[in-house]
Amino acid sequence: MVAAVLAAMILGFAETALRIQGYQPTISDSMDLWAYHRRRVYEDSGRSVVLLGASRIQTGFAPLAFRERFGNHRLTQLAIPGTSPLATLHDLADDERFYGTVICSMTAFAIPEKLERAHSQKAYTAHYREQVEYREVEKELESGRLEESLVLAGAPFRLKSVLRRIFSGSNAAPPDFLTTRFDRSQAADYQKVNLAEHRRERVGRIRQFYRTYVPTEPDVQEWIQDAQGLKPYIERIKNRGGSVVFVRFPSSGEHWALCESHFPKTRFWDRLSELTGATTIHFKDVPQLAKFDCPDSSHLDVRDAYSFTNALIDECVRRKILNEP
Amino acid sequence: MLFDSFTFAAFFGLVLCLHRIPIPWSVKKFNLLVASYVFYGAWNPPFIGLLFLSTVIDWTAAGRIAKTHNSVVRRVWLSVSVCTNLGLLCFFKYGAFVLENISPLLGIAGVDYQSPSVSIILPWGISFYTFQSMSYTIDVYRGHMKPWKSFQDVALYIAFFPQLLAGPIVRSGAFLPQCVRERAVSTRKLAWGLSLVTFGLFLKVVVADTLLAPIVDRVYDESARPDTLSAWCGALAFPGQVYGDFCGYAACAVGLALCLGFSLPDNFHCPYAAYGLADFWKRWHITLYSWFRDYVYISIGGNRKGSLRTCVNIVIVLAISGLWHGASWTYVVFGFLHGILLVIEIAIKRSRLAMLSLWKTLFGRILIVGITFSTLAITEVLFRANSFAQAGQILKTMFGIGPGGRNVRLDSFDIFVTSVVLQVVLVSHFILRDTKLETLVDRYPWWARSLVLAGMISAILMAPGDDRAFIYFEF
Repeated sequence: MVAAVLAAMILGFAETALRIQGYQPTISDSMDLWAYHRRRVYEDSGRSVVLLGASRIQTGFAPLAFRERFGNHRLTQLAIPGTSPLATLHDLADDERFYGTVICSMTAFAIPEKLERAHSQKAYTAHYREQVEYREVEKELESGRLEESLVLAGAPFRLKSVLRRIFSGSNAAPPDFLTTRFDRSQAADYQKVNLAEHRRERVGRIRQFYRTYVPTEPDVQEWIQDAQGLKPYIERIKNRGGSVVFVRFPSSGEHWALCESHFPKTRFWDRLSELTGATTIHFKDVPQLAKFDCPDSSHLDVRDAYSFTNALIDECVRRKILNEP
Repeated sequence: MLFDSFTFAAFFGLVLCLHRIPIPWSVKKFNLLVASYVFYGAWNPPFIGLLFLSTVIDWTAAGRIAKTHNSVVRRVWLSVSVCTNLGLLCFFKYGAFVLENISPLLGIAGVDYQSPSVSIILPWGISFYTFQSMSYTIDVYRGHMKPWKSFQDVALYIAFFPQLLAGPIVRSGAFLPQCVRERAVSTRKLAWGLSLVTFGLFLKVVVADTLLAPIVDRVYDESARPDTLSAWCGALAFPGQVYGDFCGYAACAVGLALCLGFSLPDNFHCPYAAYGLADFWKRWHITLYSWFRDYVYISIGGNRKGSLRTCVNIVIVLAISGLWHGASWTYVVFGFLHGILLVIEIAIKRSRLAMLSLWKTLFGRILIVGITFSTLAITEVLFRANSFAQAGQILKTMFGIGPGGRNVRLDSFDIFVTSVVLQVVLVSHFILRDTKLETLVDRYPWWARSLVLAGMISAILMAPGDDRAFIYFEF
């Protein structure tokens, strides 16, 4: 008993000290956690909403805003940073038990099949399909809940990380601007970074990405073919009573300019609905969505995510994608 | 559910509370039996059936054996027990292995046969509870004990959750008498039990999983080509990892049982301070090797049929014990190799080399411990490796034969961790080799013990990262 109390005091002191320095609890995302949430997309009455995409929808879609208005719906975040949602979209289309609503953060350059990025979520769907032992689910639940509640449970403060830092005489990295919750949503607090430097670095990386992976003049016909290739998957979900909406989340400044220069909206995005059969919402087409600025040119700040999500939900309700209770 | 999970902590908390309520002893035992089946079923519910089947078969067989003097009938019932338990074990554990190997074997005989590819789930703990269950029937057959009147007690003996999944393999004569009447669990006993659980979790979660397992996994990855230093580091870290994992589990099992008023045998006693391999196998997984000694080695003649036959029997038993660990030729060869080494050791002990006064000095004893540990570390490369090819590649790299690898280079922190952990383990084993942990701990004041435990608890709570099952669950 004495030992337990002492341990609680030691850890309590450490936790308090870390919080005072600005650290926040954040979970370590993993394939197991993704698989855990993937198992939970089913809801008997079809009131299941699944979020697909990458980091934009993880940071830009605030679950709280959704749950306040659709408390009787099951919301599942299956976006994976830096990847294309196509593999998971295919996976949900092939899953006869799923017939909910898919809100998919999409961009024109995520469509081309020949880009390696198109298959980037396959490892996750494959991992989900493998047998998962109960102990993995149990461990995921426990470690995830612990990491969500305690800074000390996070990766930088685990025993081995601390010992490694002591050995090398280095300090812990400063508090991260990005935190991840157990439901896999993320909060990006850009007040914690030197924004100018952060934005410069980010834009540099995006430019490099475009130079390496995105053709300067994409083959329009090939793109159309690839987009049409999505239609059967979307039809399968719709035939089961579900729906799919592609949402172009906001980007600003240099990032928007880059995207437009390679995949002009009028030549690519505006044809997506007709080619795929999915409903499409582009932030530029909806004044309530277009007013948001991305501090790093590509992601919304945590302070804007709530209002952005409400505006997006309003648009979904207006278009009858979602029926507000 | 694993011991190192909050789910198990909640489960055990509930079981302990129920156990301390003033209700009849038979009800408490029933609760423990239900809890044990819930514990096992939490992993994979259908396999509860196997556990129950093994229990019913052995309960019935032992009862029938005791009721008759007809040696044929007795042998038949003994065979039913042994065949059922070994049959279950062979099917689930070795079924796929046999099918894999039958094609090449038939090929040698000129028969072209492609065996089907099957995937059989290995029920956790089957290697342990089948042996435990069988030993009850065998002991009744040999007249070492009378069949137990209470089926509930026998069922509890076989399914008792603290030791169900990875031992210790308890003899019926040691456990069943404890079921006759309730033994009060004093506060001191409860505290020691919980301390053992904490110590066990520290060994498993901190030493094995956090500090050593990542190092071992990097060196033994399929695509790994470690350099010489990394190969040695991995080879030395593995004995530490498997000790932390398995001894950690055993400590938890003994501690949990103690909290419930049951005494389980120790399964490890400072194995890395062994003076030679014979001493090592008396200190490592004690209950398994004593099981093999009593039920296999003695049954095939033991040391009663001359020196040559004794040597053959030793090699056979260790090869079988290697196979017990898993369906792979690397395990069999590991066991066989240790059998040969044990025979060589026996020969050395009978030679003049063993008479040197050096071995009576502290330096001499440390030298023997060092030689024993090094032998273990090198032979355990075979145990840990995924294939003979990988084991050969790592061993060659360790001894500088052939081109070394470059794609795995452990950093100075990993090497530092391995050396510190090993030194602590080896020194503590050497100091404690002739004493008990409880005796050592009792020498220190309560505040020092509390501080150490608080440190362990803090380390356990800060350690979780990768989820790793206890290694011996997979045997």
